Amino acid sequence: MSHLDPVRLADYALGRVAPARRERMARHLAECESCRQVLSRVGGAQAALKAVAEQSPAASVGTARMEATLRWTWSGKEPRAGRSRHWPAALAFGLAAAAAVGFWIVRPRHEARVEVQALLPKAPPSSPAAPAALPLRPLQALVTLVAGDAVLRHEGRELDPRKAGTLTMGDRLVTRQGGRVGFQWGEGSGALLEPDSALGLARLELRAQALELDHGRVAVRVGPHQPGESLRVVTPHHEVSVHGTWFVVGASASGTTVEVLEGVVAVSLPGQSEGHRIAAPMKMFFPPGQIVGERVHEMSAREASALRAASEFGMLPWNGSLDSAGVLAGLLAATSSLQLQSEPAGQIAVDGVSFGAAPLWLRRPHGRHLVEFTRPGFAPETHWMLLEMEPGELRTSLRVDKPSPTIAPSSPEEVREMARQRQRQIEACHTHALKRDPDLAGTISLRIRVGDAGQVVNTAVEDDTLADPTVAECLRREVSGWKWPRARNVTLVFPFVFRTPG
Amino acid sequence: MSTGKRTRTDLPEQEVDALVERCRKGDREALGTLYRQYRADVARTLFRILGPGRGDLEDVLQEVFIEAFRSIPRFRGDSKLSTWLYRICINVAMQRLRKLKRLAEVQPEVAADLQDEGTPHRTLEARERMAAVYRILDELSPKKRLVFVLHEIEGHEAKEIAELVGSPVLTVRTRLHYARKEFYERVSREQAFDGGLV
Repeated sequence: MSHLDPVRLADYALGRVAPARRERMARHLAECESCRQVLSRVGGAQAALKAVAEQSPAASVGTARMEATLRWTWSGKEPRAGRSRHWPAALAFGLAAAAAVGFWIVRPRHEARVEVQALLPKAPPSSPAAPAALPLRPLQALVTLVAGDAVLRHEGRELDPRKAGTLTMGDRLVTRQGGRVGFQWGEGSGALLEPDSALGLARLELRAQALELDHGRVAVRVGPHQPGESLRVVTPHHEVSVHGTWFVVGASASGTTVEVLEGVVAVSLPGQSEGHRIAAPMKMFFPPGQIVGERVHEMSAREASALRAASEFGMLPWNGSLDSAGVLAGLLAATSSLQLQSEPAGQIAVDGVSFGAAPLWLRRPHGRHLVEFTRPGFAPETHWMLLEMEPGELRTSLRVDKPSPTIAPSSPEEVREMARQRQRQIEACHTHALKRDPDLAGTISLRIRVGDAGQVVNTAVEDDTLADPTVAECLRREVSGWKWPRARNVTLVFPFVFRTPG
Repeated sequence: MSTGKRTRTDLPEQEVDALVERCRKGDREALGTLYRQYRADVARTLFRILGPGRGDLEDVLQEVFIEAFRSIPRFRGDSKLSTWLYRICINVAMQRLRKLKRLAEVQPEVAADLQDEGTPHRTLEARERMAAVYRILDELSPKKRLVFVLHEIEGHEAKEIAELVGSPVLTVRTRLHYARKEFYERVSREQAFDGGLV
């Protein structure tokens, strides 16, 4: 007996089959269990498609990007016909704008030269709301993070950037192994200079910044509601036009690396209009003379998260106008420095934002802050700090982690308690499989790795005596979302026993 | 299957004309109005084409509006503004599908997209089925996936799809035929759909 085609069954389920054929199919279905099963699955898939049609994304999707989208569009020229010709227009305009008002220059020691140019928003000539071009005014950048070995060269002198507090045009920052410096300026944008880098602030004016990089890497972040959203990175080999809010660019003699965390980036050869667009979250390497990326790699959520964490420098809210002096003064008055240190050196998070390893110098707003120190093998330390006008300082010694039996994250009782709380979800995994096999019973032992915040970071099936692997897979998905309030950096194996009903 | 659930927001014709005119002149306020008016519709369409649980919906949505803002001087009013925008949305989604072959990672985050109605068991089933749907769609070519979603989820007929994607109707019909064939053949082997409607 030949079976019915799944597409026919789909039409049958939707009532799209002529009556005579429908009757024949019904007769066949009455006798064929296999086709009934397929019909059941087709019906399930159609129900899922209907469910998709009834679902909507979160109501907030896109709300935070409106300003950024408008600014990006606004910064470009009038569009011309044809999609592929939009980028040339934007690029051409970007070059013109940069030439007119300034740019950042990142200049490696030898040949490799990187320029990061800030495109200025510009209204079309016909727009009545177009602001007049603002005069160029000196800006000061505020140092917000210093870690490790970092030096500020100011007017021929070597200073500690922690003490200097602000940066002005002509200053130069040098970081060595482990050194990092975060700073932000009056357009709500900022940069984090990574270890083993040297960066000069060749120009630091309102709407015009020029940075010279001898070597190293810089992470750039643009405030989502600030002008200058569109940025351009020019290397000797490529031009990178960015309309995102967070990206990392690296340059070397061998090419350009672009890592986009948010938004979209276009890469083109110098002077050429054809661009290659990269959408977040993507990492690409471009050898000299090529706009076809190599080592193309779509970052996984974990990789993107790691890159975010690595290039995070906790930008301060920069409210107010572009008038740098007033904003800077206000910001200086509302913030204080915070020196954080632990022995041995742990990772530091302030108010939930990871800032990297101790020792660390930060500038944070006045008020209460939650400071957390973590280090594998040591008990995590949490401190509340009240930061006022005076600089804050916190030194702590981390203790070797000796889990107490009463609060041990690996305590079977604590795991059992969580399993009890999530019993219905766990049972659902089993119940679903019972439909296929009513006698399905057995034990699944899961190896559960708990991260440094108590969250499950990995699960693996240690042992599975059930005949249906979908239960273990379902169970893993369920357990992946668990989080224990006290568990930290442990791996535990826990058996889940499934019995048949009754 | 035509669910016919697609809903689009359109302003009265006169208001649309005025809005387009202001947008053409680069009036940022008008562009903002256009964004606010159509953001939810665009997000919903992208959500259906690309699948739930994706972290880049914001990026794709931004691309759609950047494209729309740049193209609006060329909008001649031959179709409704919402249809024109819908077409851009489909084009951008198509580029996305082509660029990222691996799409719709319907992971447990899908739970966040679903309303918890009914029993946990039912919710779990719905989640698993939706995940299975997008797993199968991931295996289709972008062109087939697009026509399938436009037909089976968005509820368009082949002729409408042909106009939207700029292909001959016959091509769309052929593509849809093979898309449905591939989809339902995979469905017939997928245990996640067991216990569906009969």
